[in-house]
Amino acid sequence: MIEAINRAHTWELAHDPTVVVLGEDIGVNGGVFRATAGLQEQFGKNRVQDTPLAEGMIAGMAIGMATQGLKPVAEIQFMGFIYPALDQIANHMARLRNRTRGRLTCPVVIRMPHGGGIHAPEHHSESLEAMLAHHAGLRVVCPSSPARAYGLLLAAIRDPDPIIFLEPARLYRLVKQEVADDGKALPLDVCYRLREGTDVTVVTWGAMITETMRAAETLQTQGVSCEVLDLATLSPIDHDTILESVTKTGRLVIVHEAPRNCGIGAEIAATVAEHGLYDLHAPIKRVTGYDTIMPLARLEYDYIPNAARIMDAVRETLVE
Amino acid sequence: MRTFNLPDLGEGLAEAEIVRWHVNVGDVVAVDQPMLAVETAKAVVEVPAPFAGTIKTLHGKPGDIIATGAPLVEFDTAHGASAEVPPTAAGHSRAHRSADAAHVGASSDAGTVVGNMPIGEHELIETAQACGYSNNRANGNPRTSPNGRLRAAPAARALAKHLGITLTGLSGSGRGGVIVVADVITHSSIAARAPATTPPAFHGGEGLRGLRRAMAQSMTLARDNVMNCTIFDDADLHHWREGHDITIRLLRAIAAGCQAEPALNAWFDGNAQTRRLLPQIDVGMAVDTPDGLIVPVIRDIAGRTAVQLRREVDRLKSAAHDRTVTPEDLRDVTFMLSNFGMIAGRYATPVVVPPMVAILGSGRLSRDVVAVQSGLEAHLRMPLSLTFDHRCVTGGEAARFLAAVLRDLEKDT
Amino acid sequence: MRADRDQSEVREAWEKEPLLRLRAHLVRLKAWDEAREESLKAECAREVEAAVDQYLSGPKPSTDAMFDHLFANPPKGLLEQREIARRYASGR
Repeated sequence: MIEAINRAHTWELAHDPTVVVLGEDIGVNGGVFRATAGLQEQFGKNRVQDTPLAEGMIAGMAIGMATQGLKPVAEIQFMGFIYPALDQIANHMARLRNRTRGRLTCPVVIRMPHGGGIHAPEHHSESLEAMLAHHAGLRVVCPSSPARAYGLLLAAIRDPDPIIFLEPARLYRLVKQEVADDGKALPLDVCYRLREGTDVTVVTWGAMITETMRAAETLQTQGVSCEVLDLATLSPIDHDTILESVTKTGRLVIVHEAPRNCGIGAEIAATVAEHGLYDLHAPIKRVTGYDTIMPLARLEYDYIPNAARIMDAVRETLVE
Repeated sequence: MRTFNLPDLGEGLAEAEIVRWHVNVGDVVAVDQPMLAVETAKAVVEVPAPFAGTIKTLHGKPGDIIATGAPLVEFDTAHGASAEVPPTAAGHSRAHRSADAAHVGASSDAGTVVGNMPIGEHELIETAQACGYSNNRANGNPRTSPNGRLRAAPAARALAKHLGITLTGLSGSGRGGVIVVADVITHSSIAARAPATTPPAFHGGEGLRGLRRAMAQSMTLARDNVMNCTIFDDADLHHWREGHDITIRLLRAIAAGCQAEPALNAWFDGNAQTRRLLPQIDVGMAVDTPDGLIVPVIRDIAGRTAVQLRREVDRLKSAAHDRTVTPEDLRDVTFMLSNFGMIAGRYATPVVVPPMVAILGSGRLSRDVVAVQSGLEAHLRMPLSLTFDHRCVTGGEAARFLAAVLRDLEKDT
Repeated sequence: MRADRDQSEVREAWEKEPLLRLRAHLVRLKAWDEAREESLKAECAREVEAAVDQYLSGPKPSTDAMFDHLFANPPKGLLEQREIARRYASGR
C-alpha cells in the first residue's frame, strides 16, 4: 500500500502543478513510513516541504495554501497526533467554504496512518474516524487495499473540499497487489463489495478487512455465505448499498477497530434500524475495539477484533 | 560489498544501543530479515536487513551505542543470495506499473518507525466492485424492495416463529405491505380456536354504570374462577318463640358454623393456589337498594353481642340506602350472607365471590307440613342454600358447616 | 478568580507584544499616526455595525443556507436532510 500511495503522489504532482506535499520528515526523509520517498528529489523543495514538528501549523499552512489556489496534501505522522491540528481542521478547514459562502475553499487532503497493530508507542495506534465524521464539512476516507489507496487518494486530492485520508498502518507492507499506475481515481462516497454473499452482510473498513475476509473464508467452509462490504468512505456513509445488501441477507454485522462507544458502527446500525428494520431477521451486531485506551504492544492483538470474534458475531445472527 | 548504516529510527533520535544480534558473521540473510534489536530512548526496535546478502562484518556488540548514520553491518553481496535486488523500500510491495518499472524511492532502508511493521509476501487477489449511488445520481429514488425477501416487523417474525407459522404467503397489512403481528394472528390457529359464536348483538343498549357495572364485573370474575357447589337444607324453627331477630340469629349461626368448620371462613387465591384461614369473621351482608346491590360488612360477628350486632346491622342498612357507606365498610369480607328470603324465594344457588370461599343464602320462612313421629305437623322452616368453592372447600367441610348452622338456628334462643 | 501572575511578568510581555512594536515602528517611519488610527477604528466599527444590522434586519435566511456551501459535491444524505429542514422551517 505504501508504494501505491507513493505512486498516487507522484502522478498527481506530475500532472497538477498546484499540488503541494507537506508534513514532518516527508521531504528529505521521505516520510517515516516512506510514503513520500523520492518525491522531493523529483519535484523539488517548493512542492515537497518539510515542516517543523507542529501539527497545528501543518493544518494552518494547508488552509492558507488551499485558499490561495494550491492543493496541499499534508501528512500527519500518526492519527494520534491530529489533536493539535484539530482546531485548524474543525474550526476553519471544514468551515471556510461555508463561512465565506464559497468565496474561499479548502481542497486539502490530510493523510495519516490509522489504527494499530505495529507495536508502536502510545498515541501511535489511534482510530479516531468517528470524531472526525461528526464534523460537517469534512469527508473521511479509508482505503483497505493498495488499489483503493491509489484510486481513492487520487480522488481525494482532486476533490474540491477537505478530506481526511486514513491509511491503515498495519496494511502498509502486508500485502502486494497489481495496481495500474494510470492516474484513474476511484469513486468516493460509495462502498466496495469485496465478497458477494447471501446469509449475512458484514460491513468493515481499513485493516479490519484482513480479519473479516479471513473470517468469511472460514465461514464459507461451514456453509455460511457472507457478503463483505468495504465502507471506504467513512463519512458520508453509503447507506443505500448497505440497506440494499441487508434486504438481500436480512442480517448485519459491523466490524471496526475503533472503540465501540459512539463509533461509526453505531451510525450504520441506527440507520439500518431506521430504514431496514423489516428486512432484519436478527439484531444487528457490532464487533469493535473495546472502550479502553489502545493498549501497548503485548495486548494490541487482543484489542483488535480477530477473526474468531467476527465469526462468533456472524453465527449469533444466524441463531435467531 | 555494501555497508548498511544505522537508519534514523524516527522522531529524530540520534543514537541507539545495541541490545542483541540475531545474525552472525557468515550468515546469509534475506531482505527484511531481522538482524538485530536496538534500544532507543523510546523503545526497543527490530532492524531488518535492507537487502539480501552474506554478513561480512558486524559493527558493535550488545551494549554499544551506535550513532544514527554510522556503519552497522557490512554485507558481502558478491556471492550467494541475489546481489542486485533494486533498493526499493523494504517489503516487496511491487506495485506493477503499466508505464515504467523504475524503482521507487531513493532510500534503501525500510522506514524509520519505532515499532514492528508486519511485512507480508501475500499477493492480494480481490474482486472489488464499487457500489452505491454516487453523488451524481443523488436523485433520491427510494430503495425498492427486491426479490423475495419478506418484510415483516420483528415482533411479527418472533410471533410467527413462536406459533410455528411460516411467513411466506402472508399478506402484510402494515405500511408498504409489511407483515405485522395482527397478520400473523389472523393466519394462525389462535384465530381458529376463538369461539365461532358470540351472543347476538342488539341495538339501543346503554353502557352499565355504578353498582350494576360493578356487579357485572364481579360476577364475571366469579364465573371465570370459582367452582360453585351448593348444598340445600331447611332449618326447622318450630322451637322459636316470638320476636326473634332473624338476621341476628343467622349471623350467630354462621359464627357457629365457622367455629365448627373454619375452612369456610377463608380467602383463596386460585392463581397462586394459596389459602388463608381468617381468625375473625366479617360477614358481608347483601343489601338490595334501588341503585343496586351493596354488601356492607359486619365486623367480628363472633365477638359482638346480639344488641351490638343489631345496632351495626341497622347502621349499615340505612347507610346502604343513603349511599353513605364508606369503603372501609365494604372491604375485606370473609363470609357472605344473602337474605333474599325477605323478598321471595326458598332455595337459590348463590354465587361465591373470590377471594371468599362460601356464601349462605336464606330463603323465605314458611310454615311447612312436616312428618313427625306421631303424624303431620306444621312447622316454621327456613330454607338454606350454602354455596362453597369446591376448589378449596370439601363437601364434608361444607356439610359440617351447614349442620352446625342448622343446630344453632334450631335452638330456641 | 484573579490570575496570579507577577505584574512584572505582564509588563515585560506587553513590551514584547508584536502589534505594539509594529505600530511603534510604523509611527517612527511616519507611516502611521494617532489620527489615522482613530479613523481606522471608527471605520471598522461602522463596517461591523452595518454588517450586523444588515443581517438582523433583512428577511430571515432560508434553511437552505445551512446546507449551502458545505461541499462542492454534497453527499446524498445531506440533500435529504435539507428537505427535512425545509419542511419544518419556522417563519421566524
